[in-house]
Amino acid sequence: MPNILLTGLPGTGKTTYLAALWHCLESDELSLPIYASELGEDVSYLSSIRDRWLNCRQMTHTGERKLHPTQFNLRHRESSAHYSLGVPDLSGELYSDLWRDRQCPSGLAAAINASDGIILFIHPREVHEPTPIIDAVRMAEEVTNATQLPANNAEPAENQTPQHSNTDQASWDAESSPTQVKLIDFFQHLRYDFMTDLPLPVAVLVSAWDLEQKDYSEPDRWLADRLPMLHQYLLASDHSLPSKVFGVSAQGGKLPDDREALANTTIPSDRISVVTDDGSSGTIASPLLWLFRTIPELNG
Amino acid sequence: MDNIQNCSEGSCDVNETGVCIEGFEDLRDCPNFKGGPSDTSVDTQTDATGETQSEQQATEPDEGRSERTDEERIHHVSPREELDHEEANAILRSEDSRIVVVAGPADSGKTTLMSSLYSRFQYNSFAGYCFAGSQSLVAFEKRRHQTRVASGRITPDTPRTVVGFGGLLHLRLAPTDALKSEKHNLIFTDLAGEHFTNAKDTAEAVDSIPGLKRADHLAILLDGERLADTGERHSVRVQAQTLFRRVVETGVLHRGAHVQFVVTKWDIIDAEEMVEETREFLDATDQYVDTRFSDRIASWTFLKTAALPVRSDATPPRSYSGLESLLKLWMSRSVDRTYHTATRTEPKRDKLRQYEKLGL
Repeated sequence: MPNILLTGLPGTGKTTYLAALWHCLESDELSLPIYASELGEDVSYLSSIRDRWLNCRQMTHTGERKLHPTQFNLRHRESSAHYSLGVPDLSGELYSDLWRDRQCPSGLAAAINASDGIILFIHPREVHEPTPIIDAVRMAEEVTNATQLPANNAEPAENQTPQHSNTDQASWDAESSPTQVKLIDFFQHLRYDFMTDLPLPVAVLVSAWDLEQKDYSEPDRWLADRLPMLHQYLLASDHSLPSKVFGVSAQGGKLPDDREALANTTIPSDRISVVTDDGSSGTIASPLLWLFRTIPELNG
Repeated sequence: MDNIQNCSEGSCDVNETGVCIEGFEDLRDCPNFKGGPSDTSVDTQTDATGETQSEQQATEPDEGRSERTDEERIHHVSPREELDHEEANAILRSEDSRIVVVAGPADSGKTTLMSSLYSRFQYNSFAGYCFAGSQSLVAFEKRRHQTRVASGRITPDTPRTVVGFGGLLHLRLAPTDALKSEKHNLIFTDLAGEHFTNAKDTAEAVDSIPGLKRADHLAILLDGERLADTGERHSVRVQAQTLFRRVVETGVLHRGAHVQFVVTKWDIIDAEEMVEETREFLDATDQYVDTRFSDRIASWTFLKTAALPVRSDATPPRSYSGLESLLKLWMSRSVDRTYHTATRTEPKRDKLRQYEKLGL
């Protein structure tokens, strides 16, 4: 069966996507190319997160390191192909621990080793880009110059910048590293430190895409602009980690601000919007369908 | 072969007694311990700590393996710190690779140059190359920390490489016009300046520079801040020349290798309006190499960099002045291992072309 691993740092939208996906596949509201052919042995976790999504509630995020094994039985509407899809939902903290501590629980290792494809979630508001000191100094000087007193009272701009010392320094903290570096590190683990079969397809999902739509029409361009090093890495790793970028809004809006409007949506699935890498419309199943087309074991 | 032990804690006499001053029964647990079986891989030189390392890493827990505890609960992954010799050799065997030895006294900007090159890719592809990975990713990140606001500093800096630490850094790059088909690796040495200060004075110390024997490039840094100081510039130039001479005369550097004389902190020279003066000053070095050693190396080139400008108005933001030319040079040439003879009809000198192109 294909095992698709949902990955991403904390708060990047993995569980929201899974909840919305399960609803769409089980309800078949959208008549997607794939649908849930049967409920499966135990859908209690899927049901609980689906209920929260239907009620326009944010997913609970306790910070605990948990793994929720889930499994769908799917059928492709056109080809009648059957898929028994494993989609373990792991806490984002497990991935951030991997960067910081250089180790992970065996449960995560097993899930990674068993995966046939990866969905990587990135939330636009969770992208960390450390500020270079020289940029901060420039900004401070610009602000200072803009608020400078008239010429007869002025001091040189550099004398007005805050005078702090280089003596009170903070030592390196792994958490302070750029998001794109942490994600590249994860991909390097996939290639070198786990027993994954390569090529391993990667669907990159930019979650909460509605927040970025006014500035970007193409998720691939967003990735190139916001995480350029990761973008380069994926381009250069196409042979071992073929990838495609999607923009996904699984909630349909911002919670709790938009809750009332979202709850009034007649067909819950209509809340969801997906854009493929070149800006064309897709569905919530588009990342899965692309993975199915790309996973070598499913394509002979 | 017997283990050669070494400890970076000067007061520990584990070499003689086998007893760790920190109280670790298993020496591998001690953070100061650098011991291991001797190196029998391609690079047979002693490393920066004065010991050889073996390709056998039987004493180290393997990355990518779970601990063999009863429950197998933890899976370790690579620390992605500085490479050891085994990791470096694995890269050298697998893909096109170049070894770059970055040499110079303390504070000349060696680590800054390498880490700034890495950092440049965090903004965009660079010099015609895309970032394709690094086996020393964490090591690079630690070196960039003091350039970021999170460090608490008000001026950017790079941590000084301490004697006994440092090591090999790695960048994997792909040409933007051949992303899928080509990959190239750069392996840098990152050593404390004291190693090079010792190396210029003693032939024995040259052997302690890892990678030099197999180096494709030797980049000798001249501290631009000191070159701009008339009271110091002569010693800066002479130190660089002496190091170059030492490396060439010992024969450790292959005759087919390429040498660069890199003036760092060029923003300071620029700010002091000493560009022309510095260029003329370095003519003496060019003459020194040309008249005495032109047949001992494949090429020599003069370049300038401003990899970490401190003044906010010194250069345009993120221009990383000079790094592009340097990277292109490193990627375009590798050691010519067919070059053995001492005779040459024409000196392979790039000075004129580089002067014209870069305005050095």
